[in-house]
Amino acid sequence: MPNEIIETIGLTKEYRLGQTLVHALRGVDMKVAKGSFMSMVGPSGSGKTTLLNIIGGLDKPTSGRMLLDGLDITTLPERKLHRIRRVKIGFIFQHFYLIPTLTALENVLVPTIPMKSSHFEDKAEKLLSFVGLTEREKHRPNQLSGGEQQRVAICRALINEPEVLLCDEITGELDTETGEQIVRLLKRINQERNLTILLITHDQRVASESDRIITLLDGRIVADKAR
Amino acid sequence: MNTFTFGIRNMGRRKGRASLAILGIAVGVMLITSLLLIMDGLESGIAESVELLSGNLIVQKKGAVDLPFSIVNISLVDSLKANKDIRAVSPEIYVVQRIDEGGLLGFVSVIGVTESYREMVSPAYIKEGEVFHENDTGKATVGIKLADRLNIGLGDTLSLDTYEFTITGIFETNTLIDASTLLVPIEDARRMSGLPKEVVNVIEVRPVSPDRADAIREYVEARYDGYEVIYPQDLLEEGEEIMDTLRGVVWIVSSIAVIVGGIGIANAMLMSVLERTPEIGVLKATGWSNFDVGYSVVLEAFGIGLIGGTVGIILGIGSSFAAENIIPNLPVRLSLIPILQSFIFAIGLSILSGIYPALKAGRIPPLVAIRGE
Repeated sequence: MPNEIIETIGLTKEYRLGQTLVHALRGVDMKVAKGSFMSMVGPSGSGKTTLLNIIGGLDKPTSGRMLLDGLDITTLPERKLHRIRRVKIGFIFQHFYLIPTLTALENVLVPTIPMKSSHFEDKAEKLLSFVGLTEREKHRPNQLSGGEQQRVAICRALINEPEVLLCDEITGELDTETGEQIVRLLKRINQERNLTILLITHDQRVASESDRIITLLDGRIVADKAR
Repeated sequence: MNTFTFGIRNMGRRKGRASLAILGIAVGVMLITSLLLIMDGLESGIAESVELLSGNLIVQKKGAVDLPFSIVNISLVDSLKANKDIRAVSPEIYVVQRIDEGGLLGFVSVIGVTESYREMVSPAYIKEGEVFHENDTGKATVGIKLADRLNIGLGDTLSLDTYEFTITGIFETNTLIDASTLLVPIEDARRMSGLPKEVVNVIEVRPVSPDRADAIREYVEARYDGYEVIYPQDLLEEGEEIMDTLRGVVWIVSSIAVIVGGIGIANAMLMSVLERTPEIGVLKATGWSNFDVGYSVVLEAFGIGLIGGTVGIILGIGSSFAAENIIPNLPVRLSLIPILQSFIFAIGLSILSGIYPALKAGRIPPLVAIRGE
Protein backbone atom coordinates (compact mmCIF):
# COMPACT_ATOMS: atom_id res chain seq x y z
CA MET A 1 0.00 0.00 0.00
CA PRO A 2 1.43 3.36 -0.94
CA ASN A 3 1.59 5.92 1.80
CA GLU A 4 0.00 8.42 -0.56
CA ILE A 5 -3.75 8.08 -0.73
CA ILE A 6 -3.85 10.63 -3.54
CA GLU A 7 -1.30 11.21 -6.27
CA THR A 8 -1.83 13.41 -9.32
CA ILE A 9 0.59 13.27 -12.23
CA GLY A 10 0.61 16.07 -14.79
CA LEU A 11 -3.09 16.81 -14.54
CA THR A 12 -4.36 19.24 -17.14
CA LYS A 13 -7.91 20.28 -17.82
CA GLU A 14 -9.15 22.35 -20.72
CA TYR A 15 -12.71 23.19 -21.60
CA ARG A 16 -14.47 25.53 -23.94
CA LEU A 17 -16.47 28.41 -22.57
CA GLY A 18 -18.15 29.92 -25.62
CA GLN A 19 -15.35 30.94 -27.95
CA THR A 20 -12.53 30.81 -25.43
CA LEU A 21 -10.53 27.78 -24.40
CA VAL A 22 -10.15 27.77 -20.66
CA HIS A 23 -7.04 26.14 -19.18
CA ALA A 24 -8.39 25.22 -15.78
CA LEU A 25 -5.41 23.07 -14.83
CA ARG A 26 -1.97 23.35 -16.42
CA GLY A 27 -0.10 20.37 -15.05
CA VAL A 28 -0.71 19.61 -11.40
CA ASP A 29 1.58 17.17 -9.63
CA MET A 30 0.68 16.55 -6.06
CA LYS A 31 0.88 13.84 -3.43
CA VAL A 32 -1.34 13.66 -0.40
CA ALA A 33 -0.42 11.37 2.46
CA LYS A 34 -3.03 9.29 4.23
CA GLY A 35 -4.58 11.10 7.16
CA SER A 36 -3.66 14.59 5.95
CA PHE A 37 -5.86 17.58 6.57
CA MET A 38 -5.09 19.76 3.58
CA SER A 39 -6.49 23.09 2.42
CA MET A 40 -6.53 24.38 -1.12
CA VAL A 41 -6.68 28.13 -1.51
CA GLY A 42 -6.48 30.48 -4.43
CA PRO A 43 -8.56 33.09 -6.23
CA SER A 44 -11.70 32.22 -8.17
CA GLY A 45 -10.86 30.50 -11.41
CA SER A 46 -7.55 29.20 -10.15
CA GLY A 47 -8.64 25.59 -10.67
CA LYS A 48 -9.36 24.48 -7.09
CA THR A 49 -12.80 23.05 -7.74
CA THR A 50 -11.71 21.41 -10.99
CA LEU A 51 -8.88 19.69 -9.16
CA LEU A 52 -11.18 18.55 -6.37
CA ASN A 53 -13.68 17.15 -8.89
CA ILE A 54 -11.00 15.19 -10.70
CA ILE A 55 -9.69 13.82 -7.41
CA GLY A 56 -13.22 12.75 -6.48
CA GLY A 57 -13.92 11.11 -9.82
CA LEU A 58 -16.61 13.62 -10.76
CA ASP A 59 -14.66 15.00 -13.69
CA LYS A 60 -12.05 13.67 -16.09
CA PRO A 61 -8.77 15.48 -16.82
CA THR A 62 -7.73 16.34 -20.36
CA SER A 63 -4.44 14.63 -19.68
CA GLY A 64 -2.53 13.25 -16.72
CA ARG A 65 -3.35 10.65 -14.14
CA MET A 66 -5.07 10.64 -10.81
CA LEU A 67 -4.20 7.73 -8.54
CA LEU A 68 -6.50 6.99 -5.66
CA ASP A 69 -4.85 4.50 -3.35
CA GLY A 70 -2.61 3.52 -6.28
CA LEU A 71 -5.54 3.03 -8.73
CA ASP A 72 -5.76 5.33 -11.76
CA ILE A 73 -9.40 6.45 -11.67
CA THR A 74 -9.18 8.64 -14.80
CA THR A 75 -9.48 5.58 -17.03
CA LEU A 76 -12.45 4.03 -15.22
CA PRO A 77 -15.84 4.10 -16.94
CA GLU A 78 -18.76 5.70 -15.10
CA ARG A 79 -20.27 2.34 -14.23
CA LYS A 80 -17.18 1.52 -12.15
CA LEU A 81 -16.51 5.04 -10.99
CA HIS A 82 -19.73 5.32 -9.03
CA ARG A 83 -18.55 2.44 -6.83
CA ILE A 84 -15.29 4.23 -6.11
CA ARG A 85 -17.27 7.32 -5.11
CA ARG A 86 -19.51 5.21 -2.95
CA VAL A 87 -16.79 3.38 -1.09
CA LYS A 88 -13.75 5.65 -1.03
CA ILE A 89 -14.94 9.24 -1.30
CA GLY A 90 -17.18 11.48 0.73
CA PHE A 91 -18.31 14.83 -0.65
CA ILE A 92 -19.50 17.88 1.22
CA PHE A 93 -20.82 20.88 -0.66
CA GLN A 94 -21.31 24.53 0.04
CA HIS A 95 -25.09 24.31 -0.39
CA PHE A 96 -25.57 21.12 1.70
CA TYR A 97 -28.08 19.69 -0.84
CA LEU A 98 -30.13 17.80 1.70
CA ILE A 99 -33.38 16.31 0.44
CA PRO A 100 -36.18 18.45 1.87
CA THR A 101 -38.73 15.66 2.31
CA LEU A 102 -36.42 13.43 4.31
CA THR A 103 -35.51 13.69 7.99
CA ALA A 104 -31.95 14.30 9.14
CA LEU A 105 -31.49 10.59 9.78
CA GLU A 106 -32.89 9.64 6.37
CA ASN A 107 -30.67 12.19 4.67
CA VAL A 108 -27.64 10.60 6.29
CA LEU A 109 -28.80 7.26 4.88
CA VAL A 110 -29.28 8.53 1.31
CA PRO A 111 -25.98 7.12 -0.06
CA THR A 112 -26.92 3.67 1.24
CA ILE A 113 -30.39 3.56 -0.32
CA PRO A 114 -29.36 1.64 -3.47
CA MET A 115 -27.49 -0.87 -1.33
CA LYS A 116 -30.66 -2.46 0.07
CA SER A 117 -29.18 -2.94 3.49
CA SER A 118 -30.72 -2.00 6.81
CA HIS A 119 -27.66 -2.20 9.02
CA PHE A 120 -26.70 1.40 8.29
CA GLU A 121 -29.33 2.86 10.56
CA ASP A 122 -27.33 2.30 13.76
CA LYS A 123 -24.32 3.79 12.12
CA ALA A 124 -26.28 6.83 10.99
CA GLU A 125 -27.55 7.37 14.53
CA LYS A 126 -24.02 7.10 15.90
CA LEU A 127 -22.75 9.63 13.37
CA LEU A 128 -25.51 12.07 14.23
CA SER A 129 -24.72 11.71 17.87
CA PHE A 130 -21.03 12.21 17.08
CA VAL A 131 -21.87 15.59 15.50
CA GLY A 132 -24.26 16.41 18.31
CA LEU A 133 -27.56 16.06 16.44
CA THR A 134 -29.22 13.15 18.21
CA GLU A 135 -32.10 15.41 19.22
CA ARG A 136 -32.58 16.48 15.61
CA GLU A 137 -32.75 13.03 13.99
CA LYS A 138 -36.40 13.35 13.04
CA HIS A 139 -36.23 16.94 11.87
CA ARG A 140 -36.44 17.93 8.27
CA PRO A 141 -33.83 20.23 6.70
CA ASN A 142 -36.09 23.29 6.89
CA GLN A 143 -36.29 22.80 10.66
CA LEU A 144 -32.50 22.84 10.96
CA SER A 145 -30.08 25.76 11.05
CA GLY A 146 -27.39 26.09 8.38
CA GLY A 147 -24.73 24.68 10.67
CA GLU A 148 -26.94 21.75 11.60
CA GLN A 149 -27.68 21.06 7.95
CA GLN A 150 -23.99 21.04 7.13
CA ARG A 151 -23.36 18.63 10.00
CA VAL A 152 -26.03 16.32 8.57
CA ALA A 153 -24.27 16.58 5.21
CA ILE A 154 -21.00 15.62 6.91
CA CYS A 155 -22.65 12.53 8.40
CA ARG A 156 -24.00 11.69 4.94
CA ALA A 157 -20.47 11.90 3.56
CA LEU A 158 -19.20 9.61 6.32
CA ILE A 159 -21.89 6.91 6.26
CA ASN A 160 -19.99 4.71 3.81
CA GLU A 161 -16.72 5.11 5.72
CA PRO A 162 -14.76 6.76 2.92
CA GLU A 163 -11.02 7.18 2.92
CA VAL A 164 -11.09 10.72 1.60
CA LEU A 165 -13.41 13.58 2.46
CA LEU A 166 -13.63 16.31 -0.19
CA CYS A 167 -15.07 19.62 0.98
CA ASP A 168 -15.87 22.45 -1.42
CA GLU A 169 -16.34 25.83 0.30
CA ILE A 170 -18.34 24.18 3.01
CA THR A 171 -18.29 27.19 5.31
CA GLY A 172 -19.29 29.57 2.52
CA GLU A 173 -22.94 29.72 3.56
CA LEU A 174 -22.33 29.79 7.29
CA ASP A 175 -21.56 32.63 9.66
CA THR A 176 -18.02 32.82 11.02
CA GLU A 177 -18.68 31.10 14.30
CA THR A 178 -20.68 28.24 12.82
CA GLY A 179 -18.04 27.90 10.12
CA GLU A 180 -15.36 27.53 12.75
CA GLN A 181 -17.40 24.89 14.57
CA ILE A 182 -17.69 22.91 11.36
CA VAL A 183 -13.97 23.12 10.71
CA ARG A 184 -13.22 22.01 14.29
CA LEU A 185 -15.56 19.09 13.73
CA LEU A 186 -13.70 18.15 10.57
CA LYS A 187 -10.43 18.35 12.42
CA ARG A 188 -11.79 16.01 15.05
CA ILE A 189 -12.90 13.59 12.35
CA ASN A 190 -9.48 13.82 10.77
CA GLN A 191 -7.74 13.02 14.02
CA GLU A 192 -10.10 10.45 15.49
CA ARG A 193 -10.75 8.51 12.29
CA ASN A 194 -7.49 9.12 10.47
CA LEU A 195 -9.50 10.31 7.48
CA THR A 196 -7.80 12.26 4.71
CA ILE A 197 -9.51 15.62 4.24
CA LEU A 198 -9.14 18.02 1.31
CA LEU A 199 -10.78 21.36 1.84
CA ILE A 200 -11.29 24.23 -0.56
CA THR A 201 -11.68 27.57 1.14
CA HIS A 202 -11.43 31.28 0.68
CA ASP A 203 -11.14 31.83 4.38
CA GLN A 204 -7.59 32.14 5.74
CA ARG A 205 -8.71 31.22 9.24
CA VAL A 206 -10.24 28.00 7.99
CA ALA A 207 -7.09 27.22 6.03
CA SER A 208 -4.93 27.85 9.05
CA GLU A 209 -6.62 24.96 10.87
CA SER A 210 -5.16 22.48 8.37
CA ASP A 211 -1.72 20.91 8.40
CA ARG A 212 -0.89 21.71 4.79
CA ILE A 213 -1.97 24.55 2.54
CA ILE A 214 -1.71 24.41 -1.23
CA THR A 215 -2.17 27.62 -3.20
CA LEU A 216 -3.34 27.45 -6.78
CA LEU A 217 -3.05 30.18 -9.36
CA ASP A 218 -4.03 29.91 -13.00
CA GLY A 219 -4.17 26.14 -12.87
CA ARG A 220 -0.83 25.60 -11.22
CA ILE A 221 0.34 24.97 -7.68
CA VAL A 222 2.27 28.09 -6.73
CA ALA A 223 2.77 27.38 -3.04
CA ASP A 224 2.72 24.27 -0.86
CA LYS A 225 3.23 24.89 2.82
CA ALA A 226 3.23 22.32 5.55
CA ARG A 227 2.45 23.67 8.99
CA MET B 1 -35.44 3.13 3.43
CA ASN B 2 -34.99 1.61 -0.02
CA THR B 3 -35.14 3.00 -3.53
CA PHE B 4 -38.87 2.20 -3.71
CA THR B 5 -39.91 4.30 -0.71
CA PHE B 6 -37.45 6.97 -1.81
CA GLY B 7 -39.06 7.20 -5.24
CA ILE B 8 -42.59 7.12 -3.87
CA ARG B 9 -41.82 9.78 -1.30
CA ASN B 10 -40.37 12.03 -3.95
CA MET B 11 -43.91 12.19 -5.32
CA GLY B 12 -44.89 14.31 -2.38
CA ARG B 13 -42.31 16.95 -3.23
CA ARG B 14 -44.57 18.94 -5.49
CA LYS B 15 -48.03 17.99 -4.43
CA GLY B 16 -49.83 20.22 -6.90
CA ARG B 17 -47.92 18.95 -9.88
CA ALA B 18 -48.14 15.33 -8.79
CA SER B 19 -51.89 15.73 -8.24
CA LEU B 20 -52.38 17.10 -11.73
CA ALA B 21 -50.39 14.24 -13.23
CA ILE B 22 -52.48 11.81 -11.17
CA LEU B 23 -55.65 13.51 -12.35
CA GLY B 24 -54.50 13.27 -15.96
CA ILE B 25 -54.01 9.54 -15.81
CA ALA B 26 -57.14 9.08 -13.67
CA VAL B 27 -59.38 10.71 -16.27
CA GLY B 28 -58.05 8.39 -18.95
CA VAL B 29 -58.49 5.33 -16.76
CA MET B 30 -61.97 6.48 -15.79
CA LEU B 31 -62.96 6.69 -19.44
CA ILE B 32 -61.51 3.31 -20.31
CA THR B 33 -62.99 1.58 -17.24
CA SER B 34 -66.49 2.96 -17.62
CA LEU B 35 -66.66 2.27 -21.35
CA LEU B 36 -65.39 -1.27 -20.91
CA LEU B 37 -67.84 -1.92 -18.08
CA ILE B 38 -70.72 -0.69 -20.22
CA MET B 39 -69.50 -2.82 -23.11
CA ASP B 40 -69.36 -5.86 -20.88
CA GLY B 41 -72.87 -5.18 -19.66
CA LEU B 42 -74.18 -4.89 -23.21
CA GLU B 43 -72.44 -8.05 -24.23
CA SER B 44 -73.82 -10.15 -21.42
CA GLY B 45 -77.22 -8.57 -22.06
CA ILE B 46 -77.10 -9.86 -25.60
CA ALA B 47 -75.92 -13.28 -24.50
CA GLU B 48 -78.73 -13.49 -21.99
CA SER B 49 -81.37 -12.44 -24.47
CA VAL B 50 -80.20 -15.20 -26.70
CA GLU B 51 -80.11 -17.63 -23.84
CA LEU B 52 -83.69 -16.72 -23.05
CA LEU B 53 -84.66 -18.11 -26.41
CA SER B 54 -82.91 -21.21 -25.07
CA GLY B 55 -82.35 -22.93 -28.35
CA ASN B 56 -85.51 -21.62 -30.00
CA LEU B 57 -85.39 -21.09 -33.75
CA ILE B 58 -87.00 -18.32 -35.69
CA VAL B 59 -88.64 -18.89 -39.04
CA GLN B 60 -88.60 -15.65 -41.00
CA LYS B 61 -88.78 -14.32 -44.54
CA LYS B 62 -85.52 -14.95 -46.35
CA GLY B 63 -83.20 -11.98 -45.98
CA ALA B 64 -85.40 -10.01 -43.57
CA VAL B 65 -83.27 -7.32 -41.91
CA ASP B 66 -85.08 -7.48 -38.61
CA LEU B 67 -88.02 -9.32 -37.15
CA PRO B 68 -90.63 -6.58 -37.78
CA PHE B 69 -89.72 -6.58 -41.50
CA SER B 70 -90.32 -10.28 -41.98
CA ILE B 71 -93.59 -11.71 -43.29
CA VAL B 72 -94.51 -15.36 -42.80
CA ASN B 73 -97.71 -17.10 -43.88
CA ILE B 74 -99.80 -18.33 -40.96
CA SER B 75 -100.43 -21.63 -42.74
CA LEU B 76 -96.87 -22.64 -41.80
CA VAL B 77 -97.96 -22.97 -38.16
CA ASP B 78 -99.97 -26.15 -38.63
CA SER B 79 -97.40 -27.63 -40.93
CA LEU B 80 -94.63 -26.98 -38.38
CA LYS B 81 -96.73 -28.43 -35.56
CA ALA B 82 -96.87 -31.69 -37.47
CA ASN B 83 -93.07 -32.00 -37.42
CA LYS B 84 -91.90 -34.48 -34.79
CA ASP B 85 -88.72 -32.53 -34.09
CA ILE B 86 -90.73 -29.52 -32.96
CA ARG B 87 -92.19 -29.26 -29.49
CA ALA B 88 -93.97 -25.91 -29.74
CA VAL B 89 -94.76 -23.24 -32.29
CA SER B 90 -95.48 -19.57 -31.62
CA PRO B 91 -96.56 -17.11 -34.31
CA GLU B 92 -95.47 -13.57 -33.39
CA ILE B 93 -96.03 -10.02 -34.60
CA TYR B 94 -93.49 -7.31 -33.75
CA VAL B 95 -94.44 -3.64 -33.55
CA VAL B 96 -92.30 -0.78 -32.39
CA GLN B 97 -94.34 2.01 -30.81
CA ARG B 98 -93.42 5.49 -29.78
CA ILE B 99 -94.49 6.55 -26.36
CA ASP B 100 -94.46 9.79 -24.49
CA GLU B 101 -92.17 9.37 -21.49
CA GLY B 102 -92.65 12.37 -19.29
CA GLY B 103 -92.28 14.73 -22.23
CA LEU B 104 -89.48 12.67 -23.76
CA LEU B 105 -89.75 10.47 -26.78
CA GLY B 106 -89.40 6.79 -25.96
CA PHE B 107 -89.87 3.49 -27.73
CA VAL B 108 -91.37 0.20 -26.65
CA SER B 109 -91.35 -2.95 -28.63
CA VAL B 110 -94.70 -4.69 -28.68
CA ILE B 111 -94.78 -8.41 -29.38
CA GLY B 112 -98.12 -9.92 -30.30
CA VAL B 113 -98.26 -13.54 -29.12
CA THR B 114 -100.71 -16.39 -28.71
CA GLU B 115 -101.07 -18.59 -25.63
CA SER B 116 -98.48 -20.91 -27.07
CA TYR B 117 -95.83 -18.28 -26.24
CA ARG B 118 -95.65 -19.59 -22.70
CA GLU B 119 -94.27 -22.82 -24.07
CA MET B 120 -91.43 -20.82 -25.59
CA VAL B 121 -90.04 -19.37 -22.39
CA SER B 122 -89.59 -20.55 -18.85
CA PRO B 123 -93.02 -20.61 -17.13
CA ALA B 124 -91.55 -18.70 -14.22
CA TYR B 125 -91.14 -15.59 -16.31
CA ILE B 126 -94.37 -14.10 -15.02
CA LYS B 127 -93.45 -12.20 -11.89
CA GLU B 128 -96.82 -10.72 -10.96
CA GLY B 129 -100.35 -11.17 -12.26
CA GLU B 130 -101.06 -13.56 -15.09
CA VAL B 131 -100.79 -14.02 -18.83
CA PHE B 132 -103.75 -12.82 -20.88
CA HIS B 133 -105.78 -15.27 -22.90
CA GLU B 134 -105.55 -15.52 -26.62
CA ASN B 135 -108.96 -14.05 -27.27
CA ASP B 136 -108.53 -11.20 -24.82
CA THR B 137 -108.11 -7.78 -26.26
CA GLY B 138 -106.61 -4.65 -24.76
CA LYS B 139 -104.56 -6.61 -22.24
CA ALA B 140 -100.82 -6.73 -21.88
CA THR B 141 -97.97 -8.12 -19.79
CA VAL B 142 -95.06 -5.80 -19.39
CA GLY B 143 -91.33 -6.19 -18.67
CA ILE B 144 -90.45 -5.37 -15.08
CA LYS B 145 -87.95 -2.64 -15.92
CA LEU B 146 -90.26 -1.08 -18.47
CA ALA B 147 -92.99 -1.05 -15.82
CA ASP B 148 -90.61 0.71 -13.46
CA ARG B 149 -89.60 3.19 -16.09
CA LEU B 150 -93.15 4.06 -17.07
CA ASN B 151 -94.25 3.84 -13.46
CA ILE B 152 -97.13 1.48 -14.17
CA GLY B 153 -98.36 -1.59 -12.31
CA LEU B 154 -101.03 -4.27 -12.44
CA GLY B 155 -104.42 -2.90 -13.44
CA ASP B 156 -103.02 0.34 -14.85
CA THR B 157 -103.76 1.42 -18.38
CA LEU B 158 -101.10 2.16 -20.96
CA SER B 159 -101.88 4.18 -24.08
CA LEU B 160 -99.96 3.42 -27.24
CA ASP B 161 -100.96 5.61 -30.14
CA THR B 162 -104.72 5.10 -30.25
CA TYR B 163 -104.63 1.76 -28.48
CA GLU B 164 -105.14 1.19 -24.78
CA PHE B 165 -103.88 -1.78 -22.80
CA THR B 166 -104.65 -2.86 -19.26
CA ILE B 167 -101.66 -4.39 -17.54
CA THR B 168 -102.53 -7.92 -16.38
CA GLY B 169 -99.03 -9.22 -15.69
CA ILE B 170 -95.43 -8.27 -15.20
CA PHE B 171 -92.63 -10.51 -16.44
CA GLU B 172 -88.98 -10.71 -15.55
CA THR B 173 -86.34 -12.45 -17.64
CA ASN B 174 -83.29 -10.55 -16.38
CA THR B 175 -82.46 -9.51 -19.91
CA LEU B 176 -82.72 -6.44 -22.06
CA ILE B 177 -86.29 -7.23 -23.05
CA ASP B 178 -87.39 -6.51 -19.45
CA ALA B 179 -86.69 -2.88 -20.17
CA SER B 180 -88.28 -2.56 -23.55
CA THR B 181 -91.01 -5.09 -24.22
CA LEU B 182 -94.75 -5.37 -23.92
CA LEU B 183 -96.46 -8.68 -24.71
CA VAL B 184 -99.99 -8.31 -26.12
CA PRO B 185 -102.59 -10.63 -27.73
CA ILE B 186 -101.59 -11.29 -31.32
CA GLU B 187 -104.73 -9.80 -32.84
CA ASP B 188 -104.14 -6.49 -31.05
CA ALA B 189 -100.63 -6.40 -32.47
CA ARG B 190 -102.02 -7.21 -35.91
CA ARG B 191 -104.31 -4.17 -35.75
CA MET B 192 -101.39 -1.98 -34.74
CA SER B 193 -99.11 -3.27 -37.46
CA GLY B 194 -101.77 -3.43 -40.18
CA LEU B 195 -100.63 -6.88 -41.25
CA PRO B 196 -103.20 -8.87 -43.24
CA LYS B 197 -105.01 -11.72 -41.53
CA GLU B 198 -103.12 -14.60 -43.12
CA VAL B 199 -99.59 -13.50 -42.14
CA VAL B 200 -97.43 -12.86 -39.05
CA ASN B 201 -93.89 -11.48 -38.78
CA VAL B 202 -92.14 -14.61 -37.62
CA ILE B 203 -92.83 -18.04 -36.24
CA GLU B 204 -90.78 -18.99 -33.22
CA VAL B 205 -90.12 -22.71 -32.93
CA ARG B 206 -88.94 -24.73 -29.95
CA PRO B 207 -87.21 -27.96 -30.91
CA VAL B 208 -87.70 -31.12 -28.81
CA SER B 209 -83.99 -30.92 -28.14
CA PRO B 210 -81.35 -28.41 -29.25
CA ASP B 211 -79.56 -30.95 -31.44
CA ARG B 212 -82.63 -31.17 -33.71
CA ALA B 213 -82.14 -27.56 -34.80
CA ASP B 214 -80.31 -28.47 -38.03
CA ALA B 215 -82.94 -31.03 -39.01
CA ILE B 216 -85.65 -28.41 -38.53
CA ARG B 217 -83.76 -25.89 -40.59
CA GLU B 218 -83.35 -28.36 -43.45
CA TYR B 219 -87.02 -29.35 -43.25
CA VAL B 220 -88.21 -25.73 -43.46
CA GLU B 221 -85.81 -24.54 -46.10
CA ALA B 222 -86.43 -27.56 -48.33
CA ARG B 223 -90.20 -27.36 -48.13
CA TYR B 224 -90.92 -23.66 -48.12
CA ASP B 225 -89.40 -21.39 -50.67
CA GLY B 226 -88.59 -17.85 -49.52
CA TYR B 227 -88.23 -18.66 -45.83
CA GLU B 228 -85.20 -19.17 -43.68
CA VAL B 229 -84.51 -20.41 -40.17
CA ILE B 230 -82.24 -18.35 -37.97
CA TYR B 231 -80.53 -19.67 -34.89
CA PRO B 232 -80.14 -17.59 -31.79
CA GLN B 233 -76.52 -18.70 -32.00
CA ASP B 234 -76.21 -16.79 -35.27
CA LEU B 235 -77.60 -13.71 -33.59
CA LEU B 236 -75.19 -14.13 -30.71
CA GLU B 237 -72.22 -14.42 -33.00
CA GLU B 238 -73.33 -11.44 -35.00
CA GLY B 239 -73.79 -9.49 -31.79
CA GLU B 240 -70.39 -10.52 -30.57
CA GLU B 241 -68.80 -9.44 -33.83
CA ILE B 242 -70.34 -6.01 -33.49
CA MET B 243 -69.25 -5.90 -29.86
CA ASP B 244 -65.70 -6.82 -30.77
CA THR B 245 -65.58 -3.96 -33.25
CA LEU B 246 -67.04 -1.59 -30.67
CA ARG B 247 -64.59 -2.82 -28.09
CA GLY B 248 -61.74 -2.04 -30.46
CA VAL B 249 -63.08 1.47 -30.96
CA VAL B 250 -63.46 1.92 -27.21
CA TRP B 251 -59.86 0.85 -26.68
CA ILE B 252 -58.54 3.20 -29.33
CA VAL B 253 -60.49 6.20 -28.09
CA SER B 254 -59.78 5.68 -24.42
CA SER B 255 -56.17 4.70 -25.04
CA ILE B 256 -55.67 8.15 -26.48
CA ALA B 257 -57.00 9.61 -23.25
CA VAL B 258 -54.69 7.44 -21.16
CA ILE B 259 -51.72 8.24 -23.40
CA VAL B 260 -52.39 11.94 -22.94
CA GLY B 261 -52.36 11.21 -19.20
CA GLY B 262 -49.05 9.41 -19.68
CA ILE B 263 -47.60 12.43 -21.44
CA GLY B 264 -48.72 14.44 -18.42
CA ILE B 265 -46.74 12.10 -16.19
CA ALA B 266 -43.70 12.31 -18.44
CA ASN B 267 -43.92 16.09 -18.35
CA ALA B 268 -44.29 16.26 -14.58
CA MET B 269 -41.41 13.85 -14.11
CA LEU B 270 -39.20 15.75 -16.51
CA MET B 271 -39.87 18.97 -14.62
CA SER B 272 -39.06 17.27 -11.32
CA VAL B 273 -35.86 15.85 -12.68
CA LEU B 274 -34.70 19.19 -14.05
CA GLU B 275 -35.63 20.92 -10.84
CA ARG B 276 -33.70 18.38 -8.81
CA THR B 277 -30.62 18.41 -11.01
CA PRO B 278 -28.25 19.51 -8.21
CA GLU B 279 -29.75 16.98 -5.86
CA ILE B 280 -29.37 14.21 -8.42
CA GLY B 281 -25.77 15.31 -8.86
CA VAL B 282 -25.28 14.86 -5.13
CA LEU B 283 -26.84 11.40 -5.21
CA LYS B 284 -24.32 10.48 -7.87
CA ALA B 285 -21.46 12.05 -5.97
CA THR B 286 -22.39 9.88 -3.00
CA GLY B 287 -22.18 6.75 -5.10
CA TRP B 288 -25.57 6.30 -6.77
CA SER B 289 -25.20 4.76 -10.22
CA ASN B 290 -27.00 6.09 -13.29
CA PHE B 291 -29.30 3.12 -12.95
CA ASP B 292 -30.08 3.82 -9.27
CA VAL B 293 -31.09 7.38 -10.11
CA GLY B 294 -33.16 6.37 -13.14
CA TYR B 295 -34.82 3.58 -11.20
CA SER B 296 -35.98 5.95 -8.47
CA VAL B 297 -37.50 8.21 -11.14
CA VAL B 298 -39.34 5.30 -12.78
CA LEU B 299 -40.64 4.29 -9.36
CA GLU B 300 -41.97 7.78 -8.84
CA ALA B 301 -43.80 7.59 -12.18
CA PHE B 302 -45.09 4.18 -11.16
CA GLY B 303 -46.42 5.70 -7.94
CA ILE B 304 -48.29 8.36 -9.90
CA GLY B 305 -49.70 5.66 -12.18
CA LEU B 306 -50.71 3.52 -9.22
CA ILE B 307 -52.65 6.31 -7.53
CA GLY B 308 -54.01 7.67 -10.83
CA GLY B 309 -55.08 4.19 -11.91
CA THR B 310 -56.84 3.50 -8.62
CA VAL B 311 -58.61 6.85 -8.58
CA GLY B 312 -59.54 6.40 -12.25
CA ILE B 313 -61.04 2.98 -11.64
CA ILE B 314 -63.13 4.22 -8.73
CA LEU B 315 -64.34 7.16 -10.85
CA GLY B 316 -64.90 4.82 -13.81
CA ILE B 317 -67.09 2.46 -11.80
CA GLY B 318 -68.96 5.43 -10.37
CA SER B 319 -69.51 7.06 -13.73
CA SER B 320 -70.66 3.87 -15.42
CA PHE B 321 -73.31 3.41 -12.77
CA ALA B 322 -74.25 7.06 -13.17
CA ALA B 323 -74.59 6.41 -16.91
CA GLU B 324 -76.81 3.44 -16.13
CA ASN B 325 -79.13 5.73 -14.20
CA ILE B 326 -79.23 8.41 -16.87
CA ILE B 327 -79.58 6.17 -19.92
CA PRO B 328 -82.35 3.59 -19.64
CA ASN B 329 -81.75 0.08 -20.99
CA LEU B 330 -78.02 0.39 -20.34
CA PRO B 331 -76.98 -2.58 -18.29
CA VAL B 332 -73.76 -2.11 -16.32
CA ARG B 333 -72.09 -5.02 -14.72
CA LEU B 334 -69.12 -4.93 -12.40
CA SER B 335 -66.62 -7.34 -13.84
CA LEU B 336 -63.01 -7.79 -12.93
CA ILE B 337 -61.41 -8.22 -16.33
CA PRO B 338 -62.06 -4.74 -17.80
CA ILE B 339 -61.00 -3.20 -14.48
CA LEU B 340 -57.77 -5.18 -14.45
CA GLN B 341 -57.15 -4.41 -18.11
CA SER B 342 -57.41 -0.67 -17.69
CA PHE B 343 -55.41 -0.76 -14.45
CA ILE B 344 -52.54 -2.70 -15.95
CA PHE B 345 -52.63 -0.49 -19.03
CA ALA B 346 -52.39 2.65 -16.90
CA ILE B 347 -49.55 1.31 -14.75
CA GLY B 348 -47.64 0.09 -17.79
CA LEU B 349 -48.00 3.42 -19.50
CA SER B 350 -46.92 5.32 -16.38
CA ILE B 351 -43.76 3.28 -16.13
CA LEU B 352 -43.16 3.88 -19.81
CA SER B 353 -43.69 7.62 -19.29
CA GLY B 354 -41.11 7.55 -16.52
CA ILE B 355 -38.43 6.04 -18.71
CA TYR B 356 -37.44 9.13 -20.67
CA PRO B 357 -37.19 11.36 -17.56
CA ALA B 358 -35.33 8.50 -15.88
CA LEU B 359 -32.79 8.28 -18.69
CA LYS B 360 -32.45 12.03 -18.55
CA ALA B 361 -31.88 11.93 -14.80
CA GLY B 362 -29.43 9.07 -15.14
CA ARG B 363 -27.36 11.09 -17.57
CA ILE B 364 -27.06 14.17 -15.36
CA PRO B 365 -23.35 14.44 -14.64
CA PRO B 366 -22.57 14.53 -10.91
CA LEU B 367 -20.48 17.60 -11.51
CA VAL B 368 -23.60 19.71 -11.99
CA ALA B 369 -24.18 19.55 -8.26
CA ILE B 370 -21.07 21.51 -7.51
CA ARG B 371 -21.33 23.84 -10.47
CA GLY B 372 -24.94 24.64 -9.67
CA GLU B 373 -23.93 27.48 -7.39
